[in-house]
Amino acid sequence: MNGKLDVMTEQPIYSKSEFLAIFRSAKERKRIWQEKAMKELAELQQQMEQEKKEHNMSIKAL
Amino acid sequence: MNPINLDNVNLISPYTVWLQGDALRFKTDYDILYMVSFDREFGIKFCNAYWFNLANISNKKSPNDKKIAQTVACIIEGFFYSNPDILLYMCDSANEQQAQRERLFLHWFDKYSINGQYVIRTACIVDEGQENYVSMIIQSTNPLKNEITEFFDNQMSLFRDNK
Repeated sequence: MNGKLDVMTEQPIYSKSEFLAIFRSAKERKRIWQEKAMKELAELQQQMEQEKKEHNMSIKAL
Repeated sequence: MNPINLDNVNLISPYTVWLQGDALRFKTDYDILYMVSFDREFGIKFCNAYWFNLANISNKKSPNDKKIAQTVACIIEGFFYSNPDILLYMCDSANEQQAQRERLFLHWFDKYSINGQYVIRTACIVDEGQENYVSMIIQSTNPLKNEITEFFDNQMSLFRDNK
């Protein structure tokens, strides 16, 4: 841990607006991360469905 | 962040956890895929802190499944084994179920973590009228335990009673 807690006082280090900014930024990063993951999974599932369809069609054609 | 030793995690985790890209993943018996990531919080300057992100990315409702909690507990233990840092967790606010998710997370944590191994603090941040539940977890052996919990309590006091 890169601890430098000598600045610790009984008062908050960050103001309410500073801490809210930290929180909102983290929340937004999480939202983007989650959306990207869900999109990737949906694309993968779509691709698998397509491959399954093509496989079934090629079996029928035989 | 130091990498989590997945061999160790998988020795005790009921679901197999694997790393794909920069996220950990596990799949449940109900074919639901979960993703876990640790997002460094650079906004907090005096120590290393990471947001623990957990998401069901299968877009399917998960039934009550105890193995998910056990797996999450194993991952968190794996994190702390390699990283003596701060873990932050915020509950997803989708469907306005964040308070319920917070209670569930705390319940998981109480049930599956070894008693007294961690210190956990929870607070509610009201932002633009929406309640957001945030938890901070550190190891009880952390040499800066008192200073860190004091920091968290002081910061969260700004949001108490909506001041």
